[in-house]
Amino acid sequence: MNFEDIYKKYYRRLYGFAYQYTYSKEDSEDFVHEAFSRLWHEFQKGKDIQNVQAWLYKVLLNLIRSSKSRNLNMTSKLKQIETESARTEDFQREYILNEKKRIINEELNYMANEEKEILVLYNRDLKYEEIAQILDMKASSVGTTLARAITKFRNNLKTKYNGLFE
Amino acid sequence: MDCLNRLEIQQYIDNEVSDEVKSAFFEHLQNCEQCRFLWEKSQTEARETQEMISLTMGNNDHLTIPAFVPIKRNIIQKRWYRYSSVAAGILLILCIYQYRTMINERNERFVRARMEVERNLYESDLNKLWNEKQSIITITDAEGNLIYMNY
Repeated sequence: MNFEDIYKKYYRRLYGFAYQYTYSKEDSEDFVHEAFSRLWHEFQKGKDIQNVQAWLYKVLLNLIRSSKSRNLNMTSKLKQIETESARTEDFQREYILNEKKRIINEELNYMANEEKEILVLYNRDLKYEEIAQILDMKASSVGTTLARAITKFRNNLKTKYNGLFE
Repeated sequence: MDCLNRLEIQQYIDNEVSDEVKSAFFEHLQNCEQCRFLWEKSQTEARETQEMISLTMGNNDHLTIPAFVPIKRNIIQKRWYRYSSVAAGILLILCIYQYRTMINERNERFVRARMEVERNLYESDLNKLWNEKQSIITITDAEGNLIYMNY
């Protein structure tokens, strides 16, 4: 596959993935660009990558993990999301949606890193094998961790915000 | 067939089992009410969780993809970092060596001058009292340059 095609195909997905960690447009763009430039260098060296998608996700995740921006004050950024589109006609619906977004983000940040990552990756139509490759874990333990993470996520939301997510 | 556990149900939902196992699970679900309940519950949970998380992703369909500009600074920076630490180490060792030799030279000169003063004092008239002694003290450094002289 050509590099240009890969870039066009995966850019939006990787951007969305990075955005879920950084909550910032500029940071996400930087991380995604860095990941793609690493891929470009690999291609220049003539290396053959088996699963490009998993490789890109893995590099991006490592970049995000190693950067300090992950430890920034998340709550301030979450508030930004909340007020992003407050002035609309359908104010109430918009407000509830933003509140839901904020609560889900908060809840994801409360969870263990591995569980958050697996939940976010599960949303991207990746196979268990690919998730295992990205997160450096056994393919057999992906299902268990995923099932546990889903149950935990649901229970946390239910006990804290009963009624909002019915 | 035994009842399914949570992991098996999750794998079945995500289509991660082989076709044979899948048909066996399907058959079992037709007969076992308990497993069917668990399966339906897990399926809705998984779907709702996915929906919730996709809420936070935002809509990226309208996102314009910027043109990719490869940057070569990566490699240059890496090389520069690698050799800079070695160069800094060598420079530091040279500086320490130079400083040590400077200190040694200065100390040597000082010791020689001091010995000369003591000798001059000792060789002056020993039979007189100290306040009647008349001695000429000259202090010179290692190269013979005059530093101090008294009359």
